[in-house]
Amino acid sequence: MSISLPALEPLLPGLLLVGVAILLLMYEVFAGQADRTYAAHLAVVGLGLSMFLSLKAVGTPRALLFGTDLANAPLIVDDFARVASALVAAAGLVAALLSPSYAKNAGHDHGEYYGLILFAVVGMMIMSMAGDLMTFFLGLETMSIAVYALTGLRAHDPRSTEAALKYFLMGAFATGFLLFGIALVYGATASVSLATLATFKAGSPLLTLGIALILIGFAFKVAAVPFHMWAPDVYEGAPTPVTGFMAVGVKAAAFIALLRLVHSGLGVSAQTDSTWIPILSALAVLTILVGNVLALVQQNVKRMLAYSSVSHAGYLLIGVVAAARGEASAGSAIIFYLTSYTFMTLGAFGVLTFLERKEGGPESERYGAFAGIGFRHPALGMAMSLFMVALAGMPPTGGFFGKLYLFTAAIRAEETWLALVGIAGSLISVYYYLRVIVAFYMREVPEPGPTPTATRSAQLTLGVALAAFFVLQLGLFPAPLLALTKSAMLSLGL
Amino acid sequence: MLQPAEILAAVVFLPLVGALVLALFPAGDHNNLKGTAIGLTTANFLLSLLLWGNFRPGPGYQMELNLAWIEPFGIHFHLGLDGISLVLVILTTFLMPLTLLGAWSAVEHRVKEFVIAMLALETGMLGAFVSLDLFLFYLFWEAMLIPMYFLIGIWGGQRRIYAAVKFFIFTMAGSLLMLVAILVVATQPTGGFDFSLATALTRDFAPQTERLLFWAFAIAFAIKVPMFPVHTWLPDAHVEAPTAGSVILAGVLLKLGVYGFVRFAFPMFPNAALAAAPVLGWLAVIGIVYGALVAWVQPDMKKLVAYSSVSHLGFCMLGLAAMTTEGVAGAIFVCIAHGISTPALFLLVGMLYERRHTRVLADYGGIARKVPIFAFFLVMTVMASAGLPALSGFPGEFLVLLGTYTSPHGLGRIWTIVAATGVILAAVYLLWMTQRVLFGPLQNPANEDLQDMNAREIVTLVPLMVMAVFLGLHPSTILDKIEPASTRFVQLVHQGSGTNYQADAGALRRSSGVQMRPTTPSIQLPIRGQNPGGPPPGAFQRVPGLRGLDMVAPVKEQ
Amino acid sequence: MHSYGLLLVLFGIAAGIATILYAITVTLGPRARNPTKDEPFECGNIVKQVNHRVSVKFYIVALLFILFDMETVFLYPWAVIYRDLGWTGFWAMISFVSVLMLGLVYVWKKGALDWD
Repeated sequence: MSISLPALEPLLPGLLLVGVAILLLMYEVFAGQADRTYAAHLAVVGLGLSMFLSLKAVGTPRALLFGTDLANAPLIVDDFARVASALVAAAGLVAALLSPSYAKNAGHDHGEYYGLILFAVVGMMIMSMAGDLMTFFLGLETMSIAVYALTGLRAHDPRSTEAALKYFLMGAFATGFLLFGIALVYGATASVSLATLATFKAGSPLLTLGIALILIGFAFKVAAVPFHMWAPDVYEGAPTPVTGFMAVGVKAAAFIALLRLVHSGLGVSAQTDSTWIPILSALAVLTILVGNVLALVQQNVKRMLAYSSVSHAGYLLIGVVAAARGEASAGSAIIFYLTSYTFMTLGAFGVLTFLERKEGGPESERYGAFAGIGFRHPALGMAMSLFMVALAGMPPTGGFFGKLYLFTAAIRAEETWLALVGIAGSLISVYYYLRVIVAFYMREVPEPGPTPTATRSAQLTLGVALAAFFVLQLGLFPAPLLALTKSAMLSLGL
Repeated sequence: MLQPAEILAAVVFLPLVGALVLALFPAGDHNNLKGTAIGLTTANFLLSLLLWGNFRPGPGYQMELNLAWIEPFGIHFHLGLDGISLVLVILTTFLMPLTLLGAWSAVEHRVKEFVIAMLALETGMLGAFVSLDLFLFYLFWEAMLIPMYFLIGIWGGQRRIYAAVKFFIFTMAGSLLMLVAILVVATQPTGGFDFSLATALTRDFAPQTERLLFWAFAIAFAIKVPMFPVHTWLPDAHVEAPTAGSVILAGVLLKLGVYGFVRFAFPMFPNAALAAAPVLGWLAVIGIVYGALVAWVQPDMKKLVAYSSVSHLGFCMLGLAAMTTEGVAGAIFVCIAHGISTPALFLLVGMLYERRHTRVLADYGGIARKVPIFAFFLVMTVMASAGLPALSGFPGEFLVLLGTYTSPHGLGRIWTIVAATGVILAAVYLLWMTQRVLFGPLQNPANEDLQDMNAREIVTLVPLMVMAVFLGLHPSTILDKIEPASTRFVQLVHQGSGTNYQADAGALRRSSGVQMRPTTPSIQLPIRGQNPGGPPPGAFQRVPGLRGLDMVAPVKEQ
Repeated sequence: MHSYGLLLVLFGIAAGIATILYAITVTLGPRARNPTKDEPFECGNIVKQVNHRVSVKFYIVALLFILFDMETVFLYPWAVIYRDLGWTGFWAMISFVSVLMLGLVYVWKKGALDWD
């Protein structure tokens, strides 16, 4: 076995990010300046380039790294991995755009911040390429540790410290489950390779238990009910752009890895072992209903978005059920939904970043704090309305088409009742997403008083504008992304 | 020169483009914003008249524009018109400039947002009326919800947020059900993965599935109409909405519910629709009587008009449930007539409100002497709304009652009798309202220096009055357009379900005793069942037009 | 079985050396008991109350030590088979160590190694 440099080419998007991240760290310690906007720009360029390289390679044959076939290659760079890499790079890109002005306001303007985002993105990419459970675990940890650090960046704010601690402890707990599950699976099959796993028929209690523990680990990461308890506190305490990044990036990476698992490993045992479908379905239903109902009663917009993110994990789980049922379009639907979810959520957090007050505090995140913003800042108001409408799943947005695609997959998989539960959840969600619009446009505007003023920042504006553009683009002209998701799923053999 | 299909697309999207242009205008220049918006909507109305001119008599879709859109999903950008769509499109474009003109002085703050919302709303409504693709229809259907929500929530009254959210949630509940049904229809194995209406019409469903799908659609549309048990959002929305919002809501939005039944729910699921017709019919007559009774006791004028809408829309639904050509044509005619008289009523109530800031009936009385022009318009409008012959309210309700009486399922006669009391009740509550507002002694000193209507307000109302009179005297103007489409609709449903009903107007007309004038046959139908006094089965029978209702001016003979 | 025998011999030698060394210190070393010597001893810290505060710098250094210490573990398996891996393995390890070096440089420049 020998590795030459050209053989590493498929990894270029990831290696590039590692390089940029190290460069950022070195620049920070050797030539640090007071203003870290340069770091943001460097990160954005790196992420953009990485995304471009990933997308450019779509359509080229599958590359197996450090191995000769699916059963022994730890890294599989196929279209699925490429599309997923582009997606997480896009999430990192928008998050990096949202960050500079917030970091300056909140007093955590460090060059390392962007390095951590890049490392997290690399971790996510590895998760999407993982050919075996160990590589997957490495990617997961790379991502998680970077995100733990990002969460606690506002060190002077007790909410941020609390968030980081909670996230770290719960994350470590989840990791324990995951690792134990991997160990049991290895014990049952003598292999950690997903391809080998697929050849095993269900029946061994060790395998069943192992997969169950792996699923619990996933459920923690995507904040599925009943493993969601950490989400609201963490979302509330983390710096707003990080919250956005966490909500979309971590979720996207986890679902993408789960999808590969379902299609190459779990899928077979799921189809032969009828216990998985009811368990996944129950997880989906609980997540949708609990997430939506709890979001309904929140008074803090960031917490509301946290619970709403929980409920979106539920919609995605419907897709996982459909995928486990063998529905070919489900995976494609999940990737589509994740993409549109990435843009609408990051956009919403971007608008919140705009309106964040210097003194911060939970008071500035309540619905009431946003009274009259829609008229004072018409563009922000329009953008926020767009993102809320998209999150609620209304046309003509990517959120609508994503839901349509997901529920279509569910109906095709003969899980119409799950689609109905998803619809019921969407209906509940309409109420709390509307509350944001109500606050923005319909509440009495308090006289001068403590109303947030928008932070002007070119990067932030660009980030929100990009998000808004893609939310609309995915709603009106989804065909290009549909083609991408299709080729991604084709590369998994569907 | 534009092709007719391109004109259709232009009519739909001109308001949206206008809204985008207006977004660039300075927010402070109110007159300029309102003026431009009125100009745009008037231009759109004139453009839509080209559609009227290009429309050839006939039952099918015309001016179709069918572009590939989202290929993998079988979604097409497919627009097209039949007679029913046509008259509803014209109604929409006709009402829009008048509404904006009527709101000239009522909306003084956030003017820019207001006109943008109104224009976006117009595109949503027009698009929904002409979409021939389920996905596209759903897109427009939902898209018009958002501007309406803003209209109620920003420019509304005291409890505007409650009303706006209630409106949104009610409608959304229905439309989400419909979305699942659309997905189920589109993913049916027969016909492939396709969202087009034409394919949907060819699909077969298991009876149980069909029933569920029909009710999913029906609930969505019934909420919009609104039908009796799900009407509760309407009074709230109307009372809290600004005048312009109420006008559009009553004038056009509610009609989308009726339209949805005609275009989608009934033809796609004919068996389930016919099975459900008795239920719908009963709900419709309950709505007629209940709406009228509740309207009667309202102390608030706007609420009274709102409940009168529930009652009037009951007639539309009754006509559909009757499933006869007269019933359906009458239902659409009621939609148009209601779309003229009720906006006028809302505008008049709005004018009073602007002057006195109250809509409570008890605060008025005897103001006719102070405001004679207003009194004239109010009396005219009330008469039109109450269905006085020779005004627009009459032909539609008459046709609906006629169609219901001869409805193939036996309940028609009972419905007709109950619904006819609704007509009487309408006269009662409307005239009583007029009496309490206009006549009697002038008791409230606050009304002493009430200003009469100004030139702008007169200009706003005159076109509505002209139409009310014109449609009362010449119902055939639009019945000619509606009838072939209605006949086709009835035929589609009955053929789809395989029942032996023949969409025949002639026999009914003979028994009705109204002097009818047989005119140009617009469609020929094969007869599958026996008709009393009709030709033998298998023969073709001419279905005369519905022109017989014309009050003056002989219709041109062949 | 032969290889396990060798292992046993290894254990024997290890135990023997330990015993001999202990015996030497016991017999040759001076014995001067005092109270300080009888206190429990832990990594240079004097154990007092449980909630005793320790400078955060201590933890940073400890953390860094463990971090770099752990990384060296990867050198052992490489050392065993570096002949089989050839130049590929060599460059792989060079890149690994350089990343580690950059980490050290970062830590150093950040001031994490300065006590004050």
